[in-house]
Amino acid sequence: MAGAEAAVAGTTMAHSGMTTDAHEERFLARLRAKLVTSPRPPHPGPRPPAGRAEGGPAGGGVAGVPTAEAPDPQPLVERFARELAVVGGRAEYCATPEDLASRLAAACREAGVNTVVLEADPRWALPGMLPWRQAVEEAVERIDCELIVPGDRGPHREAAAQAGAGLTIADFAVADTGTVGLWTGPGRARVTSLLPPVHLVLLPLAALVATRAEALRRLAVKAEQEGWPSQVMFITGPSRTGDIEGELTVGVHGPGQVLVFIVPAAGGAHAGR
Amino acid sequence: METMVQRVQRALQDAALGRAVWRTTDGMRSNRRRAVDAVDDWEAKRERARQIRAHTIAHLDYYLAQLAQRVRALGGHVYFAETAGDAVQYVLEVARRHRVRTVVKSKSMVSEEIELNAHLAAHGITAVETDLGEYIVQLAGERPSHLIAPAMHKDRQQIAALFSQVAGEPLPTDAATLNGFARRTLRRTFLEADMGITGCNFAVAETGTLVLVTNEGNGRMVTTLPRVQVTLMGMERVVPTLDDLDALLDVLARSATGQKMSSYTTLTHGPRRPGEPDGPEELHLVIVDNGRSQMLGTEFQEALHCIRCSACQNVCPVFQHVGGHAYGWVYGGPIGAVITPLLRDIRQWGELADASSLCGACTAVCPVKIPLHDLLIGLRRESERHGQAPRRFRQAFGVWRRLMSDARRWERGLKLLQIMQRPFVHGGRLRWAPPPIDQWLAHRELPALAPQSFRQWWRAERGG
Repeated sequence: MAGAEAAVAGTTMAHSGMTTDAHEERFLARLRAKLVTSPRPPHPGPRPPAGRAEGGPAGGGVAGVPTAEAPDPQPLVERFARELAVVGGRAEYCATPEDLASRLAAACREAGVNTVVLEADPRWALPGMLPWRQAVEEAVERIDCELIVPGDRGPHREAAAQAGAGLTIADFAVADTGTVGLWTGPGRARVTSLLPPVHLVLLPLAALVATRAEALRRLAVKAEQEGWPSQVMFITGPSRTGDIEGELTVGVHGPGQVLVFIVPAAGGAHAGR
Repeated sequence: METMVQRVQRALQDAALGRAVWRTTDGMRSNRRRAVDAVDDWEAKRERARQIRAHTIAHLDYYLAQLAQRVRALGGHVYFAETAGDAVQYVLEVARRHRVRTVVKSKSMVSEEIELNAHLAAHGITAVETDLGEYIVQLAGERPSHLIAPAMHKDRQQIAALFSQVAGEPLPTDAATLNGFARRTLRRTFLEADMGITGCNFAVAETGTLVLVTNEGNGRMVTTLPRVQVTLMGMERVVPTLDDLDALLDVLARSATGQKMSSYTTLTHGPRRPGEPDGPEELHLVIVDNGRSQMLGTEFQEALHCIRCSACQNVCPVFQHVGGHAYGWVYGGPIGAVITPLLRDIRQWGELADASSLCGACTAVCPVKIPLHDLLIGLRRESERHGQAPRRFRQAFGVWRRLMSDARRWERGLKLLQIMQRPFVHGGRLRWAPPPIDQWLAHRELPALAPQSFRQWWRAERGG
């Protein structure tokens, strides 16, 4: 630990001449001394896994096509759509790329979106995602809308600040709560789903799980393999506030609309355990 | 300094305040009720949450050490601040080093405790609150009046007046326009700020995760746009594992706003990584004690289990009528009445524990089962031990104790009171009583002693 401290020398604080380690040790020792007479209840232990089948249609056959190993995704999709509607978002299932193109075009037209910004998500380059990427481009072209890929027009922040919509591929989603999950990584810009007034989500079916607990487990598995992402965002519907006389207003700082397009793709989603 | 009684009396005379506070707490009570009723195993969830919190606080030193180690391994800086002054100094140092001029803040009650904004301002640094409710109270120069709805004491006319001053022109009072104004104004501030300061709902020890639970998106803005992030964390906010986080998230949003999840629950692991286009370059976690350790090893240790959901505030009959400002500091309602005297000086703040009918509604709704009303009784006892009970109060109880400790004395005392009260009884009620009982009569009825007690009647019936 001392080595790590020395490595960031000049940025760690000393408190009244003590080194950081000694200062922290004194703080913790004080707590320890006060707790010495307290009872020490044990941790309740791990929760038993939920009775019903958890997780999405991971593994086995083509994603989205029910097989013996992969349970029917329909109830999960329906539950997700229902929960998202409760919090003011909207989800649609697109069986084919053409389906996605027309639904996405219609949604953007309805929301009055002129520019859609993407992030430089490495998953767009996956062979399985190519037809869906083409569908997005097709949709955008159909309604005479502009598609901005970062690098085209300056840094992400400016592009996202001016765009009418940000389109992201979900990293995971939770059916129980209608939550869309994103995490950071190279090329992935947090502002894509934050600055524009509309958030469009491409949700690969393999990324959809039943519970938040399951999502957190998948996150832990990913972290074990690749390290922790600097930020993981659980996004449940649009931005909202009731701070003015308790009246609900949508779209305060974050997007006012969250539109999710579920597609039968793996999208590089982690199968999890 | 003003007493709580004076603040309460002032609040009770403010009809607009009363309406605003009632509307907020009533709405939040209903929302919580609906969310809890929709869950089959709410009591099981509460019990698990309680066990997690109890275990964590009892091993606080262990989990804080683990948290610090993990956050540093992720590239973050960790500072343990024993006092408010320590925390303020650290933040000022970070700000100075980065030549910070503007700070954007998402909600942090700890920052209110340490009066951070005032200290930043004294050093020429502007801190702008970005949670809409916090923004409103900042413009008004007030403290938040509720744990999660900071401006609930204000009506739309008052808010429009505040915004109009910023706009330089009169604004209409509809929520959509006012929200739109705040969104546009604060958007500019977000994009220009040098540093973001956040609070911390939970910090997961096993993974070094800092968790922010918000609905507006300002928490995301503050942790994404500025180049430096400082997170202020009450030291009791630590949670052992991700699974424990899930169990606590299960009960937090439902208890607070009646949602299953807030719009944005953000998990942060250190600063941005190479190749990432946004996120802070530097992240600092300031773990704050500021008097919390006083509760460890005492009967009040459970007060540290609190996850700041505000459910207790919304059901409290006192809070529902007067709101948070009557409590005089940062925290109001039952949790405020418990922790304020413990974080500060019990001799000065112990009176907060008197503002309770001990109905126990707070204990019933607490998602982590803190026995709040028991702690309030404990505080009254502590206050008394510090000599804080008023003299006439102690005299009255002295008389009561003497009467009650001897049966014959009791009978004689009773007979005397029955005679003495006669001129003051009207319609079965006492119309006058000596101090301090006269204070009771100011707002309540007091039935008169029966002209004949049961024993007196029994003896008369049985013929002496």
